Amino acid sequence: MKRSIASDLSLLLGGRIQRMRGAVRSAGRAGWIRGALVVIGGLLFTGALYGGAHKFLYWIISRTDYVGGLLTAVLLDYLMLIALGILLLSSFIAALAEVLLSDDLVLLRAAPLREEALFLDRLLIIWLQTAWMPVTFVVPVVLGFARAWSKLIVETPGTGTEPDVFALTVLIGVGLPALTLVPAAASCMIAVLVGRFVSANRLRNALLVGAIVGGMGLYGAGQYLRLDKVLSPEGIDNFIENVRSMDRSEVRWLPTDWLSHSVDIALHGDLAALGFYSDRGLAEERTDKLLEDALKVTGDQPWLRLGLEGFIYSKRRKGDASLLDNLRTLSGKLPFFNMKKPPKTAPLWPPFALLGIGFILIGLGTLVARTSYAIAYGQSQTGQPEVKPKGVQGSTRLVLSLRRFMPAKLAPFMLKDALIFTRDATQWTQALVIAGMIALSGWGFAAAAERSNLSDLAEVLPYASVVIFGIGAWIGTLLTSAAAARLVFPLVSLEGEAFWLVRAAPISMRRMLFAKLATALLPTIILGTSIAWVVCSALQFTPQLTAMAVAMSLGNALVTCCLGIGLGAAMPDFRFVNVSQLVQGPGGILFIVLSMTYATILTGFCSGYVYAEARGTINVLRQTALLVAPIVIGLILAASSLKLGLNRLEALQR
Amino acid sequence: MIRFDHVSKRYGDRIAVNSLDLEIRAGEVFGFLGPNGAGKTSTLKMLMGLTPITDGVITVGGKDITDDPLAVRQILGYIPDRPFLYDLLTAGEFLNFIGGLYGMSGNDLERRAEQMLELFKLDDRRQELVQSFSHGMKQRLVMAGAFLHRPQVLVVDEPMVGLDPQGSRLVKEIFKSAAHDQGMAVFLSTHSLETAEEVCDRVGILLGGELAATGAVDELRDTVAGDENLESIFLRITGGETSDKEVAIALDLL
Repeated sequence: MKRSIASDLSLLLGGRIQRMRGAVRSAGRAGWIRGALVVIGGLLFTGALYGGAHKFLYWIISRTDYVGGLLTAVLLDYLMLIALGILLLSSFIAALAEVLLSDDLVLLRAAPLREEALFLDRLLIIWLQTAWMPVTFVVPVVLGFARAWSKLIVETPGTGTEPDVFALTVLIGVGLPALTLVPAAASCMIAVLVGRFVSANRLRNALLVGAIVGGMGLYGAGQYLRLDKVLSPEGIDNFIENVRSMDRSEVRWLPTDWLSHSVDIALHGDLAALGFYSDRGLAEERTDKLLEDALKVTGDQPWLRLGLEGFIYSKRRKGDASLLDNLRTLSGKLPFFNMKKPPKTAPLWPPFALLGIGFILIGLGTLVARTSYAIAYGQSQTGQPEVKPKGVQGSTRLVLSLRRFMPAKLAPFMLKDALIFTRDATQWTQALVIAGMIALSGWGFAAAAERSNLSDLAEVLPYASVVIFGIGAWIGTLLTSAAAARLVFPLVSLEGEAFWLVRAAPISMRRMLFAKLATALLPTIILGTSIAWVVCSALQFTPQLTAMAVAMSLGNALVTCCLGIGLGAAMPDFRFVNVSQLVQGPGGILFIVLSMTYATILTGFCSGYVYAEARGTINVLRQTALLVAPIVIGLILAASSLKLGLNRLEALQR
Repeated sequence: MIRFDHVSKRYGDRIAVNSLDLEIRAGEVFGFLGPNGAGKTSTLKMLMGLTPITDGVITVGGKDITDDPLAVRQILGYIPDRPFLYDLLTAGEFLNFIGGLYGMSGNDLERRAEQMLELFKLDDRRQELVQSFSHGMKQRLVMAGAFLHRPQVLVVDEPMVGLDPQGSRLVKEIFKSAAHDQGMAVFLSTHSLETAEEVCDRVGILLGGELAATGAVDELRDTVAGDENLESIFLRITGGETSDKEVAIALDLL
C-alpha cells in the first residue's frame, strides 16, 4: 500500500530529529561549551547590531532633515535586498547539493519513499539552513529603527507617528519567514528541473548560470535603488516624484520593496503622506532653518548657491529669486502643504502575499518532484566527471607561474589551494557573485557622485560627509566580510576528508595555518582596499579621507583574514557536502558575527574621527584614541582567533 | 624499527587496545590480523599520530612518536583503507603536493614522481584529475604518494580493498620487495588472510585489544596443532568458528 506524503515526510523528519538528539548526546563537554559560546556570541552580536543600528539611525534621522528619513528607508531597502541576495545564492547552491547530490540519497532513493516527501524534506532543511542568517541580521536592525524613531518622535513631536507595534510584529513575524521561504522553494524546484534536463557533469555550469542570473538580478535591483535618487540635484525632482508616487501607492515589482515599504510606514507613519513631518509648522520651521544654516556657512557664493539649490530643490528655477524664495516655491510643491488624505497605516498584505507565493512554489515544486525527481536524481548519478582540467588550462598556467612568488615552505599548500579554487565551480562562482555585488555597490556610488556635487554638499553639511563616508566605508567592509565568509573561512575545512594526508605528514599545523593565511591575505587585501578606493573615488573624497578609508580597509582585511582562517581552523567541518554550507555552521556564524561586528566598530570609530575633523572640533587625545582603539581591538581578535585555530589543529594532529 | 611498549587506547570507558607489546623489525612485512573491532585501526592510528595514545610508548627508529612526531612522520609512509584525496588535482599535481609536504622539490621530486607513477601503473594518467579515477586507481595513487619520499616504515590499512587482481598482485610484490630488498618495515593490517599468508613474514592476531598470538605463519601452525591454513588458525584463536547449526539458524533468519 502506498503511504501518504505526510506519513513519509514525518518519517524523514523523525529521522532527522533522532540524529540531532544523537548529536546533542554525543557532543560532550567541549561541544556544549562551543555551542554555548556560539549562542552567547550570537546574542551579543544581535544586541550590538540592535544598539548600533539604533544609535546610527537616530543620528542620521535626527540631523539630516528631509534626506535622513529617505536615507533610512533606502538603508532598509538595501538591507532587505542584501538579505534576499544572500538567500538566493545560498538556497540555489544548497538545493543542488541537498536535492540531488547528498550522500544519504542513495539509501533514501532505494527505499519505498514518495518523491514528494523527499522533496519537501529537503526543502524544509534548505529553508532552515538559509533563513536564519537574513533573519538574524534584519530583525535587530528593524528594532533599532523602531527605537530610533520612537525616541525622535518623543523628543520632537510632529516628526512622525509612533511605531505601529502590531503592524511591525506581523510584518516581521510573518514577512521575514515568508521572504526566506520563496527562494528556498524556488531553488529546490529549479534544482529538480535543472537536474532533469542538465546532466550531472554539467551541474557546475548550471551553477555558473544561476550565479550570473542572480548577479544580474542584484544588478537590476540595485539600479532600482540607486543612491543618486536621494543625493543628486536632479534627484530632488525624482525625490518629489518618489514622494508623490509613494502617496499614490505605486505597485513595486521587488518583493523586498513590498516588505521594506510597509515596515517603513509601520516605523514612523506614512511620511510621504504626512509631508515628512506630521506637523506643518515644524516642517516650515525646519525648512527655513536648513536654509539659514546653509547660508551662514556659505555666504553668498554663486557656485555654492547653485550647488545648494541643486541639492535642496530643482535647478530649473527662473529669474534671480533668492534661495529663500525658491525654497518657499519648492515647499509649495511638497505634498504636506496640500495634505488632504489622512495618514496611511502600514499595509499588511506584503507578508501574506509573500507567504502565498511561497506556498504556490511549494505546491508547484511538489508536482515537479512527483514527475521529475526520480529522473533528475538518475541524471545526477550518471554523468562522467571531467577527466582533464581542459577548460581551465589558462588558469592552471597562471597559478603555476605564481609559484615563484610563494614562500618555499608554504608553496605546496598555496599552490594546491589556488589550483583547486580555479577548478571548483562551487568556489569560483561564489567569487563571481561577490564581484557582482561589489560592482553593483561601486556603480551605485559612482552614479551618485556623477549626478551630484557631493564635495559642496559635504562642505555645507558636515554630517552629510560623515554619513556618506560611514555608509560607503561600512558597505565596503561588509562586502569584504561577506567575501571572506565565502572564500576565506572555508579554507581549512576545504582540506576535506583528505586532511589525513596533512595530519600524517611531517608538517606542523602552524605552517599549514600560515600557508592558508598567506593564500587568503593578498586577495582579501586587494579586494578590501580596491573597494575602498573605488568608493572614495566615486564619492570624490578628499585625499585625506581616501587614505583613511583605504587604511581602514587594509586593517579590516587583515583582521577579517585572521578571523576567517583562525575560526575556520577552530571549528572545521571536514565532511561538508558543499562549500556554501560551511559558513552556515556554528563556526561560520561566529565568524560572520565577529567580522561584521569588527567592521561596524571600525567604521564607527573612523566615522567619529572624520566627523570631528569635518566639524573642526579636534581633540588630539580623542582623535588618537579613535584611531588606536580599533587597531588594538583588531589585533586582539586576530591573534586570539589564530591561537584558537592553531590549538584545535594541533589537538587534531596529536 | 617499530616498538609498542604497554600501549593502550581508551575511548571513554571502552578499551580499544590494552597494554600492547609488539616489535616490528626492518626488512619484514608484519601482518596485523583480528576480527572487526579488535583494535587494529586504533593501533595504526596511534602509530601515525592520528589519535592520541592513552598509555604506553611507541617508538619508530628509536624515536618516541609523542616527543618528536614530525621527525617520526618523515620516515613513515601511510596508506589508509579509504583513499580520500583532492579530487580536483591531477595525479601529477597530487604527488607534487605530497612531495612538498615531505620537503622534496625540484628535479628529485619530478623524477621520483615519474618513477612512482610508473611503478603503480599510473604514468599515462598523470595529467588526469583524481575525480575521474576508480577506487583502485585512487588506492594506487595513495600508495605512490606513500612511497614517494622513500620511507623507512610503511603503515598499511587494508591494502587490497578496491584493487583488481592485477593491481592486487602488483601491490603484494611491491610490499615484499620494499621489505626484503629495500629494508623497509611494512606494518600491514588486513582482513584478508590470503594476503597475510602470501605476503607477511610474521603475523599478530589481535583480539579484544590484546595480542592473542604472534609469530610466523608456520610457527602459529605448530602452536595450533592440526590446522593447515591461516584461516583455520585465525578462527581457532579468535573463537570465531561458526558451527553448522549456527549457520542454519542464521540462514533461517534470512
